[in-house]
Amino acid sequence: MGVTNQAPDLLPGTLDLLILKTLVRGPAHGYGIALHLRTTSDEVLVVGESSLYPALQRLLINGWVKAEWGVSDNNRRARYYTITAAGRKRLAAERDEFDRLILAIHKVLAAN
Amino acid sequence: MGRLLRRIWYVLRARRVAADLDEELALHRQLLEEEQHREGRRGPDVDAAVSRRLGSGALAHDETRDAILPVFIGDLMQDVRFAGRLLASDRRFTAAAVLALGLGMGVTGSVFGVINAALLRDLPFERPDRLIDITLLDRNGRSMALSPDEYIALNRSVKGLEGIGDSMQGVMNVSDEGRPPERLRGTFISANTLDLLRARPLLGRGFLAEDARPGAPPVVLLGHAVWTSRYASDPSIVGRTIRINNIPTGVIGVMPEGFRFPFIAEAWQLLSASPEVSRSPGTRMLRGAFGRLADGVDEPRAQHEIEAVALRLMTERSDRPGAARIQVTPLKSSYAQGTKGALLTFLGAVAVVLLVACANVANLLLARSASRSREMAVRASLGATRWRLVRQLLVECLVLALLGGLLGLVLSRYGARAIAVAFSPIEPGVAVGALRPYWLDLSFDGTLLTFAGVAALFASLVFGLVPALQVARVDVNSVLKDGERGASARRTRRWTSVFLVSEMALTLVLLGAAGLLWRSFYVMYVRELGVDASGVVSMRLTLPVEKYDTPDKRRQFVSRLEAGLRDVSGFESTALATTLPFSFGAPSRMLSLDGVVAAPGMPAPSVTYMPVSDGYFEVLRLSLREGRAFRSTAASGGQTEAVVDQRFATLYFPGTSPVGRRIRLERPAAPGRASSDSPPPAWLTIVGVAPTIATTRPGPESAAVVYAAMRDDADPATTLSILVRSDRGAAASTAALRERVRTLDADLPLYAVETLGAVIAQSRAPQRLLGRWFAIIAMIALVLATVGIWGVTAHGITQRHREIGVRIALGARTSQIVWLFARGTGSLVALGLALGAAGALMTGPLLRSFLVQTDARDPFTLLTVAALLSAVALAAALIPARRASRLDPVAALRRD
Repeated sequence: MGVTNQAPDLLPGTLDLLILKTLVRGPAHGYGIALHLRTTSDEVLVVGESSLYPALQRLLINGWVKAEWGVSDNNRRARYYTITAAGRKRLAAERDEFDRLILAIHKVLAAN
Repeated sequence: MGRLLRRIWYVLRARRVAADLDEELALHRQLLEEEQHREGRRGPDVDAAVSRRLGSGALAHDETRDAILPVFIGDLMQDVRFAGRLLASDRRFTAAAVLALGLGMGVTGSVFGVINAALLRDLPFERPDRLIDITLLDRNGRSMALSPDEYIALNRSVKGLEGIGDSMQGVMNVSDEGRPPERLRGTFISANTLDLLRARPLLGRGFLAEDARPGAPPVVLLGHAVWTSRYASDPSIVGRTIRINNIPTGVIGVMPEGFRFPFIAEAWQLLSASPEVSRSPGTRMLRGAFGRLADGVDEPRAQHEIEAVALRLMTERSDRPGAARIQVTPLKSSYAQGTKGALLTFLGAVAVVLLVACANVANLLLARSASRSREMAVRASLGATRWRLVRQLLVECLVLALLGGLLGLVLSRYGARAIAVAFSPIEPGVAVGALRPYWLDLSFDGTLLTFAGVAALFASLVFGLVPALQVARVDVNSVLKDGERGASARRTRRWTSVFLVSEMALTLVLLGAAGLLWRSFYVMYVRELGVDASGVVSMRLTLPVEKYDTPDKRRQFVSRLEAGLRDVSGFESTALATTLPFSFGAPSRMLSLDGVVAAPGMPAPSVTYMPVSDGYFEVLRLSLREGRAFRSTAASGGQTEAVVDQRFATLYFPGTSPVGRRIRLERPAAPGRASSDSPPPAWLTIVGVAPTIATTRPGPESAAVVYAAMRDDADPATTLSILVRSDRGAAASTAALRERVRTLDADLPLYAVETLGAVIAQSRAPQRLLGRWFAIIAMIALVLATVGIWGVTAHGITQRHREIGVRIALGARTSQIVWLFARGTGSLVALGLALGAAGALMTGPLLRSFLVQTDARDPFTLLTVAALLSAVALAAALIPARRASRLDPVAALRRD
C-alpha cells in the first residue's frame, strides 16, 4: 500500500473483501465504493485510488466482479462494478477466513 | 483457465485498460471535488484535500498494471529476452537450428499450402459453398453423358436449385482481318452459367436467353488474356464481328482477368454454337453439369430431390438402363479430383522431414546442454526451481521454432508454387506449369498461418522437451564439483543415440520412397521408351466439322495431306497419326480374334487403336520385330491389314506368332445405342509386330496397341497430328509445313508445335514431378541426417579430448582412434538402417498407386538407398574421427 494511502494499513486481502461486500448492495462505481467504505466506517477507512483501482483490477481478472460503463445518477459516464456469482462465493470464503483471523488475533491479544 | 484467458485479454487491451482507468480516475477526482465544494471548501484547500484523499494517479496505473501482468508473465517476458540474447550470442548454433527447422517447416508448409488451396479453400466465385457438381453415374461408378433434353428436364423439375448449368470444352479457331488465325481453348456453356457463377463481364454483356434461341446470331465472350494480347485491350472490340470456326460471330463482351471457368478457357460461346452440338443437337455428350443451391436448401435435400427427379426421368426413358444414380458433390471436389491421395502422401513425407529436422535440433540442443549444465547448476543452487529452468529452456526452443517457422513460411511461398505446377492442365504445345490453375489460391490465410504456428509449437515440443528435461535434471553437486562428466552426461548420450537412430530410420524411409518413384520413372521414361525422339517435331491440325462433315471428305484430306507431306523436301520422313505416341486420348476398341469365341458374359478385351500413316514407324525409328508394315488399300476402301505391338502379341498370342492371324476392332457401344445398328467391321490381318511403346496415360497397366492405315479409316478423326523427322529445326519445319497445308486448305491453323521429346516429357510430368519432389525432400533429409551425424560425432570427440590425448600419448594408433569413434556411430547407423528398412517395407505399399511396373518393396531400390545412406553416414562419422586421431596429445591434455 502506498505512502499516500491514508487508510490505516489493512490486513492483506481485506480491501478485496470490503469491496466485494460493498458490491453485494448493488452495482457501484469506484467513487461510490470509496464513499461507502468511508461513511460506513465513520471516516476511518479512507481508500485512495492508488489502492482502490488496482484492487478492482485484481477482482476483475479473477472474475469476481464485472465492469460496465453506464450513466451515473447525475448523468455522467461512470464504470459500474457488479459482483459475480464467483465473487459471492469468494466473499463468503474470505469472510470466514477473516473471522478466523480476527478471532485468532483477539485470542492472542486477550492472552496474558 | 478463465483467469489466464482474462489476463491475456487484458494484456492485449492494455491501452484500452489504461484509458478506462484514466477516465475513472478523472471522474473520481471530479466527484471528490464536488463533495468538497458541498462541504463549503474553496480554492487551494480543495486541491489539498482531494490529493490527500486520492493518493497518486501514477501509482494507481502502476499497480493496476502489476495486477494485470503478474509475476508469472513478467518472468516469461524475461525468459523470452534472455533466450533472445542467448541465441544471438551463439550464432552458429542458432543459424544451424533455424536453418534445419526452416527447411523442415518450409517443405511442410509448402505442401500444406497446396492442400489448403486445393482441398480446403473455396473456389473464387461468389458463395462457392452453394455450387454443386452433378454427375450421372452408371452401375460401375463411371460418369455418363446427359442429353440436352435431359438437362432441360432436370432444370425444369428440380426446385431446390436455382438452376443447372453445363459446359463443354472445345476448340475455337479465331480469324479476323489482319491477324494470323489463332486457336483458342474455348468453352461452350449454357446461357445461365455466368448467372449461376455470379460472374459478370468486364466489358459488354453476358449471355441472354435470346442468344440461345435457334436462329439467333452467334455470339462470343472473350477472356481477358485474348482481349489484351490479340486485341491490345481495345474496348471497341465489343460489338465487332470476328470469325470463330469460320462462322461470323459477334463479340458481346470481355470477361475480367482471372476468370477462366471451368479450368483454362480463353473464350466462351453458348453450347448451341458448338459444332458438335449444332450438328446433332440431341446427342448425349459428357459435359460438366453444375448447379447452385437455392436459398435455404441444403445439399442433402438437393441431392435427394435431384436423385428422385433423375430416377423418374430415367425410368420414363427405356433407353437408359445403365444409369444407376446421380451424384451431387460440392463443385470444389470436382476440381481437386484425384490429387487428394498424392497430396496427403506427400504431406506425410514432408512431415517426416520435419521430424528429422527436429531430431537434428534436439541433438544440437543436447550437445549444448552439456556445456550449459554448469550454468543450470549455478542457477539451481541460487534457488531457481526445476520448473523455472525447464520453462526457460522451453521458451528458448519456442523462440527457435518460431524463427524456423518464419523462415519456413518464406520458403513455403516458393515451394507451394513449385508444387502447384503439378495441377496445371497438361496440353500439347504448352510448357508444363504455364497454364497456372487459376482456382488455386496460394496466398497466406488464417488456416495456413495457424498451421505454421501449430507446427512450430509441435516441433518445439518434439525437439525441446527431452533436452530441457535433461538439462534441468542437473545434479548441482556433481556438476559444480567435476564439470560435465558423470551420470547426466551418459543419459544425455543415450538420448542423442535415440535421436540419431530415428533420424537415420526416417531418412531411409524417405530415400526408399524417392528411390521407388525414380525407379518407376526410369522404367517409363528410359527403359520403355522404345522410340528415337531426337529430331522429331510434331504439330496438330483440326478439321472443322462444318467443312469436313463426312468421313469421305476427311479421308480425302488425309490422302492429300500424306501425299503433300512427301513432296516437301528436306524432311527425312513424315507421318500422320490421330494421337501422338505417349500422349493421352488414343481411342480404344473392343477386340475379337478370328477363331476365338469370347466367353459369354465376359466383356471383350479393350485395345488401343492407333490410325497412322505409312511413315509412322519410320519417323519414330521403330523397327518392326516381325513381319512388315501395313499397306494402304486406298482405292478399295476400308482397312485390311494391321500391325500390333509386342504387348498385344504376348497377351493374345503367347508363344506363337500373330502374323497372319485375323482380328476385328469394334467401337465400344455408346450408352443407349444398340451395337447392332451398323454392320460389323471387316477383319484385319496382322502383318507385323512393332515394339511396345506406351501410348496411353502411364499407369500400372497399358492396353495393347493395334496400328492400322489412317487413310482407310472408316471414320477418321477431325484432329490429326503430323510428325516430321528432320535436322532443320522446329521453326523451319513448321514454316515449310504451314505452306504445304495452306495449299490444301487456307483456313487451317497448325498448332501445338513441339518436339516429340517435349511431348514425352509432358506425358511423364506427374510422375516426374512427384519423383522430383520426393527426391528433393529425401535429399533435404539426407543432408540433415549427415549434418546430424557429423555434429554428434564431432561433439563426442570434443568431449573426450582428454581421453584421446591420453590414448595417443600411450601410443594408440590412428586407426584405433578412428575405430573408437566410427564404431559407436557405425552401430547407431546400422540400427537406424535396420529400423528404416522395416519402415520402408511398411510404407512402400502406400505409394503403390504412383508406381509403374515397380514392386512397392523392390529390394534393389531399398538396398541401393541403404548403401547410399550408410556411405554418407560413415563418411560423416569418419571425417571428424580422423581429425581426432591427429590430435596433439600435449595440447589436448593441457586443456581445461
